[in-house]
Amino acid sequence: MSTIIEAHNLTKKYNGNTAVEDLSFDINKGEVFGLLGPNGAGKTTTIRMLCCLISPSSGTAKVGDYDVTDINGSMKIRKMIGLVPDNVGLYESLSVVKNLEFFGRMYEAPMQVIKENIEKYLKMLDLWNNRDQAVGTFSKGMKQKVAVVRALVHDPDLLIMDEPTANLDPEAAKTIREVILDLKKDNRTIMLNTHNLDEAQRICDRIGILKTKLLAIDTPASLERTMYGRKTEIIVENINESIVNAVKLEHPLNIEINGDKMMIEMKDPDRDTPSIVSSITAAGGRIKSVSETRASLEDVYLKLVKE
Amino acid sequence: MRLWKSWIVAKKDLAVLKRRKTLMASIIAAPVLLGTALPVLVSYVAVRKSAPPSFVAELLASFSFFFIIISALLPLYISSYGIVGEKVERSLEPLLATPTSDGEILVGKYISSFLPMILSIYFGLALFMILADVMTSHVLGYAFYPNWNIGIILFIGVPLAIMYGTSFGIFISAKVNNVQTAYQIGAASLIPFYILYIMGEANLVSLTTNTNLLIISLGIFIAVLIVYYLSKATFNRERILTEWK
Repeated sequence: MSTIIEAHNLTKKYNGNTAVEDLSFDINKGEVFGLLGPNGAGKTTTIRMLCCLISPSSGTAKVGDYDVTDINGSMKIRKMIGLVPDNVGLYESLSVVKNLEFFGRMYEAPMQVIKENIEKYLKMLDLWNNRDQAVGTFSKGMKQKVAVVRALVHDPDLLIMDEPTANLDPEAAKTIREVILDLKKDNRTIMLNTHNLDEAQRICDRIGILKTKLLAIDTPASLERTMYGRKTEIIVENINESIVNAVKLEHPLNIEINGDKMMIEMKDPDRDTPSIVSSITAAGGRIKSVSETRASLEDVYLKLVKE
Repeated sequence: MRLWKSWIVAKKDLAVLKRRKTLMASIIAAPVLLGTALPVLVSYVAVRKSAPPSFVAELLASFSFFFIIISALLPLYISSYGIVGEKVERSLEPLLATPTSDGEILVGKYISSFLPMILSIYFGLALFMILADVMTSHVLGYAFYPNWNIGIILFIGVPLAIMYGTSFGIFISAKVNNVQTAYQIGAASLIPFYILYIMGEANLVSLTTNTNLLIISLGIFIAVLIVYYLSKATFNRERILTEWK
């Protein structure tokens, strides 16, 4: 699969403070890639470097065939990208169509393409009937939808969205997510900055967790599996020391006890759970339930970010 | 430099400006007011006070300097709004994300400030000349306008003063977050013009000779170059996104 973004050791420092350090990752064509991280983790700085809005202090990144540090290449990169910034940044006194036509022309798209895309995406986002209204009269969710259309008006190869659903009501956030999923079906490459873990899990093919440095990168499922392992939860009546010792004898590592609940991390629960259950029973424990719990992306994220 | 891109920016700014009724009114009203009030005042002095023709001619020539002052003052409002408005609406980031150079955006801002201003000032000056001729020709015995003096003001002084006001507005807008502060600081940048006018009235310097007007124009030109350089240095995408608050 060919890549559309290749970042190598990207670093950005502001007045001696490091915003992003040694960031290396690839994004494949047609992929939805999520960059997760707490506030101030460097997500927006990364996006700005990739969009050639700010230059890296060191390291390189290629978008398509062009280097972000090359002045001539930067114009071509910007033409390839549709950006949804964290602030919508629309001209409030102008109508939706005037806003979109202006940006379409700034992206150097033919007028025919601009008009077709405006109609297509405004209809998709249920804003077609509001097209002649001034943006200033819109709700936050409607403005965000217009910002999404603005990013698509020139048919970009790559869509970069910075917190596209932040501060939106659930309905508007759902619409934006559905649009992203529709674009994914169209084989668009999308890079998504978010701290909405549920959203990332549902939409993204791969996820990178950033906290100045890249802490992990993989598919959501692999991250959950490899970073956190699988756990078996056994609820036992009146846990005592001999029961715990019997379990430790069978499976010496990673046992958490909380009230009558035992959480045991194991690589292969299908193989290990029966023998542990036997040990508990042999030690006189009465088992109320046995279940397997899988770590969520939230568990992985919090573990990595706190470390 | 692709001027067509600058023109798209300018057209958008002009469309936004059209919807700012108060701003539009002040841009149109000030030159019209000046173009009407000054000839009336000169006519009053000439007729009621029986001033000699030479004094009337001197008065008309010195009053025309006002048009240079408002040419530097009024663009401050448009160019300050052009940048501070983008800051307030947070529209600079998506604008800078388009394949457009900083210079192309900056030139677009210049055009959108220069065009309405030059039209408005020229309209006011035309009104001033026509009314002045109608109201004073019987006292002077001839039509005072057009003359070389007003030609220098019209074609050199006014365009340069508009460029000065525009550059200063852009430069100062980078430093402040609201239009009012930009206006206040911008208005202070006109102090040299006021001093010149007062010196003219105090007969310390003549604002009515062609040579002096050309020297003043040269001074404005140098000031334009300096402020343009400063505004270009300020209007840098990385600084806009990381330092402009």
